[in-house]
Amino acid sequence: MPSSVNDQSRATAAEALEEALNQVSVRIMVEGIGATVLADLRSLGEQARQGDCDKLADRTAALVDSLTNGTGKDIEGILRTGIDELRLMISNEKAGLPANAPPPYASLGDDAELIADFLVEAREHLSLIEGQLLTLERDPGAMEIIHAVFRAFHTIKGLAGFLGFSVMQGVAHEVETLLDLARNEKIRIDTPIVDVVLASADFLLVEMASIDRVLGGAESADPADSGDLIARIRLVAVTSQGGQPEVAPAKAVSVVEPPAQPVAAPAKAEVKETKKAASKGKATKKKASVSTPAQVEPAVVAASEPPTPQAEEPEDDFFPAVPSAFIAAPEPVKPEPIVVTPPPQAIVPTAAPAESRAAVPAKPTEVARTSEPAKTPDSGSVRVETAKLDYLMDMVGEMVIAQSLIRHSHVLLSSTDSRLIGDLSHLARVTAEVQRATMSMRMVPVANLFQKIERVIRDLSRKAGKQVVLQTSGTDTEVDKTVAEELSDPLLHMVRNSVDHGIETPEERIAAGKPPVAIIKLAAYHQGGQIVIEISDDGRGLNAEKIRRKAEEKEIITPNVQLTELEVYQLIFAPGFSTAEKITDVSGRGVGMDVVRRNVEKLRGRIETQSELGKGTTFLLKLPLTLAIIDGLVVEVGNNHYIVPLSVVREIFQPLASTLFSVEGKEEMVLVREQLLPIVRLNQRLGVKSRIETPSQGLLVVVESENKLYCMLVDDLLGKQEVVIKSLGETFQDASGFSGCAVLGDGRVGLILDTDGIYRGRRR
Amino acid sequence: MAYNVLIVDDSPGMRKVIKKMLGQSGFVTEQCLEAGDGLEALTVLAQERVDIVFTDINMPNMNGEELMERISITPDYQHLLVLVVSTDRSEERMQRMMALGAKGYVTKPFVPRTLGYALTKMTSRCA
Repeated sequence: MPSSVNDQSRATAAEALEEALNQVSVRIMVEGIGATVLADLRSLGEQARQGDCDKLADRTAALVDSLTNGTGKDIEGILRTGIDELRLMISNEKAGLPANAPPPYASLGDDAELIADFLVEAREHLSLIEGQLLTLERDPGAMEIIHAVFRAFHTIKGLAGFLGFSVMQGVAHEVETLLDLARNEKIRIDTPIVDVVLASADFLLVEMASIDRVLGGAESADPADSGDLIARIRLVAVTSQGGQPEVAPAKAVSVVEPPAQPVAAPAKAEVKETKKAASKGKATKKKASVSTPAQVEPAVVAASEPPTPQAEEPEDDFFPAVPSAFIAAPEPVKPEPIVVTPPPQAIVPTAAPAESRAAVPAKPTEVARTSEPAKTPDSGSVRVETAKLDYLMDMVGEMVIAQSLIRHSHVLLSSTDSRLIGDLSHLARVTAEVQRATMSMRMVPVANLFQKIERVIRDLSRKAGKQVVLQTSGTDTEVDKTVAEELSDPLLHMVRNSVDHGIETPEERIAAGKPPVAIIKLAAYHQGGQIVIEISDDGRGLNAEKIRRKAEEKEIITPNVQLTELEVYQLIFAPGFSTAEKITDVSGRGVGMDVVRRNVEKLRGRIETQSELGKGTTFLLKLPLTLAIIDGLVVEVGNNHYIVPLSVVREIFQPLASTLFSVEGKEEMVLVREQLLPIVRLNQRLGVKSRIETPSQGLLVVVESENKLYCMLVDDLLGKQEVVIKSLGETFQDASGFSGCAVLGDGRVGLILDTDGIYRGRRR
Repeated sequence: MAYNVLIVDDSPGMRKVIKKMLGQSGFVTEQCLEAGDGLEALTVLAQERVDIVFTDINMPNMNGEELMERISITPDYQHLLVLVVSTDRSEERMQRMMALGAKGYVTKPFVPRTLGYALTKMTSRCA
């Protein structure tokens, strides 16, 4: 077989072939795919045949064949793959390897670890970008922040490029170019820019989510089409420069004009093919080929003025070059630089490929939004799977129960061993501390949650033509991670409702004597062992009369039923209720306030509503600090022990017979602090036997439920205890009046009462 | 001779990619150090023996250009070979970095061979 001399000559031939292939690449770039390219390829094939590189010659012939016969097919793709293959074969010939040897390196795009790292890093950047942009919108001159946002996209672009996510790379590149203008104070950050950058961040997040799915084993999907988005970014870049196309001629023209017109593009662009060349490891000797203007047919070359710095048109190597959209005259190569660093795409300015995509009139399209939770790990932290934390939490719960069982043990209670008693109380302290520490691990500040809302308010208010500012407070208040996650949707929905229905248009506001800019306040704070999240607006307020009519229409209430104002407000949370007179794309999508309430109740939280017509509405979301443990009041009815969540208990007392009222056909009432409160006899409600007959023999527990107070009649009070909540399981999940169960100090199981459910079901 | 390399880039992911590329480039290195920006790089340089510095340009705190300036005016660092690794393809930028004493310039994204080629060229020229 081939002698070493033969190998030598083939290597030389391969070098010549490489030159030839590079010229083909340049021609494709400059002219598009046409007859001349085919001719070039044919002569390349001949050359290969003469140089004894048969496989290469065959492949070239096959490529020419499929190009000539492949009408209607993806010519572009065929050509690109073909050229890539040829390049690899040439490089193998040069190295004396078999022509069909695989590329000499593993593709980084297949490296799951690198990709996962990239996703984490990119998400960190993107989660910061949102806040940074909103700050920029208020203070467009904040250079530090512009730099930070720029760097974020810069990093994403760089890594995406390495990992082969070319669509992401393309979008990040456009945004980077746009922000570069801002960085150099050529444009000023304004709302359209913030919009488009946010949309780009969303786009990237969606792309990343689909990469995530692929990593997780899903079928790989085609990357989304970024054409519209890119056109939009470019349009913003142009308009932000105040219609001065001379600042960026190529871009301005290519966006505004149809693509047919040849345009001189004094651009320093790196070109797909050149890059491909490098990416196949052929870093050498391309300079001559790419930089020979003589290779370009004179007829199609439009003379161009020397490039100006502003004219540094960003390369558009991410999109297929479309035939003859415009031709640029390649600049002659600069004299050999001081140092030869081979990637020629870095040194040689070449023709800019056609900006075909950008030439399509920009039509801003909405990009799908993700509700990717922001992940911002602090430095010096360890990532732990939530499942592990949950398990730890569970086990700590069991430990707390076990410790409590020991403490209540009769043997120990009667013990006089002071050492043992001391040790036990030490154990109790340590257990409590471990429990607190474990709980705190699951806590996250509400800041992220609020930030997401800020973004939504911004987008919505603009869409609805309303002016709204958001004021937040208590953003460092911490809530359980699950609460934060589960709260996100209800909170977003409530804010949407506020903007959509609560807030008036600026004109209406002025007419009502209010400032045109509405204020939505979001506050988080602790109150009595609960987290309160307050959403208030200064809009038109809830119209009790209207709500009532609507509820009657929808047969949620029977006409003429007596309801307090607060009870009327609660109707907006009823299933099937919607005050929206017309359905917008924002609210009124079938997800109503009833879902909001259900979600909040699932978290064992409550929603309270305050409203004043014309002045605004306030919703209070009251949530437990943790989902796993509650402070409970243990009560007894007959032989049964029940737990009443301490958070809803207002007071406990033994009523005097004189304060009790019983009206025929109505429920029993008791006078407490000059207020008549209904009494619910727990034994009747739960269908168990009681030891007492009249309320004055037992105790009344005043509980707060859905904005009102009522009394539960119990036999006796057994004490207060922290209990770990256990679910009732599927079998009993429909049991009305109970929210779970817990193991009590004496080892018995107690049912946890759902005080709202008990009141609602009291007349059964 | 095996070289000690310092990779300066503000993106941890990018440092990892470059490291990986370096491993596949065929260029033999002894040690691969990392720094997140120019300031960190100077700290590493003060403590470790480094032969080759890969630097990004756009970084917080101290960018690549400032780092290069510091290296060029420090007598102890005259032996350092600096390779700029950047996405910036503008000739203006390249000329400026060369003027500041960069011995090589590789644009991202690149493939291992490009890196290997650049490094071989740099080291053989300056050997």
